[in-house]
Amino acid sequence: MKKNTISAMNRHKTILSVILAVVSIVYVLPVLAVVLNSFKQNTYVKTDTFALPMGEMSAGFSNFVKGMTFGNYPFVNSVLYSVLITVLSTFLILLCTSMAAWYIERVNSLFCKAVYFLCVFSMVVPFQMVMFPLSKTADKLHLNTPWTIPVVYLGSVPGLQSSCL
Amino acid sequence: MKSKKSNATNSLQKATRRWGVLFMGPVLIAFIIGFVWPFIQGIWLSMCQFRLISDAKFIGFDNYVKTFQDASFRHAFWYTAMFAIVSLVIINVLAFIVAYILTLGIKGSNLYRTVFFMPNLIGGIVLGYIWSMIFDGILGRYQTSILLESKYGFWGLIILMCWQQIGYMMIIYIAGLQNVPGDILEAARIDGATSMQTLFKVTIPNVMSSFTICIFLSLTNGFKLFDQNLALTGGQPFIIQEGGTTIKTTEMLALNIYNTFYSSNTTSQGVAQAKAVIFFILVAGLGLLQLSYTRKREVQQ
Repeated sequence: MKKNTISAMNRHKTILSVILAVVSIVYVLPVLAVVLNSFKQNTYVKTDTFALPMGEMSAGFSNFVKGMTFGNYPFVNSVLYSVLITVLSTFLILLCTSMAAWYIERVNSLFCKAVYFLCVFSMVVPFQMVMFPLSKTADKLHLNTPWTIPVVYLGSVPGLQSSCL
Repeated sequence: MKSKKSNATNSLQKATRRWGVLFMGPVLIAFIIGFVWPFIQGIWLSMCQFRLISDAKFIGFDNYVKTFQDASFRHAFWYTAMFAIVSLVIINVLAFIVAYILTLGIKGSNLYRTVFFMPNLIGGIVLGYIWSMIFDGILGRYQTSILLESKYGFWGLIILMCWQQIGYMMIIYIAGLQNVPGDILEAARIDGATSMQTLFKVTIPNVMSSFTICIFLSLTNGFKLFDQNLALTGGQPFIIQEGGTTIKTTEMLALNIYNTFYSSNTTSQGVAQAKAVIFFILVAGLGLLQLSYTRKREVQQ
């Protein structure tokens, strides 16, 4: 009797595993479609979205080359700017917010409680609320270059950081 | 420093306090630039008529009146509410089912977990374009497009969001499920509970805190959705009403606010800011309401 239930459970698990495997494959398909389409000529992306890039459809790596160098703002530059902003702002956020969080934790004053409350409060405010004034303020203070945007980021995220600690 | 440690905590606090400017200064200045000042200015501007900020002119609550008369805003509100509720239910049910199956100890759990989490790593705008390509690839065979019918846009966005969010919610549920004490489950089994009874009477009450987090996250995510909406349909198809107002049938609240801000209409910035204030009150209120409601149902251990 006991043996039966165990083998039944194992069978259930195998069935579940197979079902999940199928679902996983379906889950990956959209990414696969994107990769395939990146090798296709432009017109075939619309007409034969899911076909393999074979024969005349294939564009080789020309799409990648074009994407990297196209136009006035090549993608390479965007990547570099993204890296720069990410590294700078991560560094700034980690350094400054952990300092502030430590201070809030140690010093028990009304001021600290107010700052903590404001930080938590800033998490529920949707970005659209501050979007327009923020962009204007950043313009006015000349914080709108890739080198200075991390400061704006530092100001927009301390909620999460400080509440984690 | 060492000698002060042995003193009462008061003197330690005093010593720490002396360095307050250094520790709090950078964050505080950035926080004021990045949040506090724009927020206050935002509330003030919602009662002004302006094009740039320097020419703001106080006009009272006119902007709010205009917002409620705006048919496109009302449509966006109901559309967003519908979307948030439908996506909330589907995402959480599916994520919980997947998490439950993955914690049963079947083969390849780790692989499946990675696969389900992967879409989360792709940014919103890119996701929108990926899926618009896929949906058009499918719908193109039936001589139609996702931009032509609003119901395709709605369900397309639901599919997109499910694909993206299920993995994330699943991770939270898995963490919750692994924390359910084994002895309770064993006691339930010895008492002769069926697996369904165990699931609904033991497991789910014990992972209620995970439900709180996930429902909160997916509800606010649904309401604040912007990137995916912009990239997938951008609000199309449009309907032009008799009065000349255009209703973008798949436009959600955040996108509606954005479009109002950057429209060519010279008086719309104030209205957009008023919309943003209403949007903020809505999102914050909903979040708090939901948090306090689910907190009550959590089981204390």
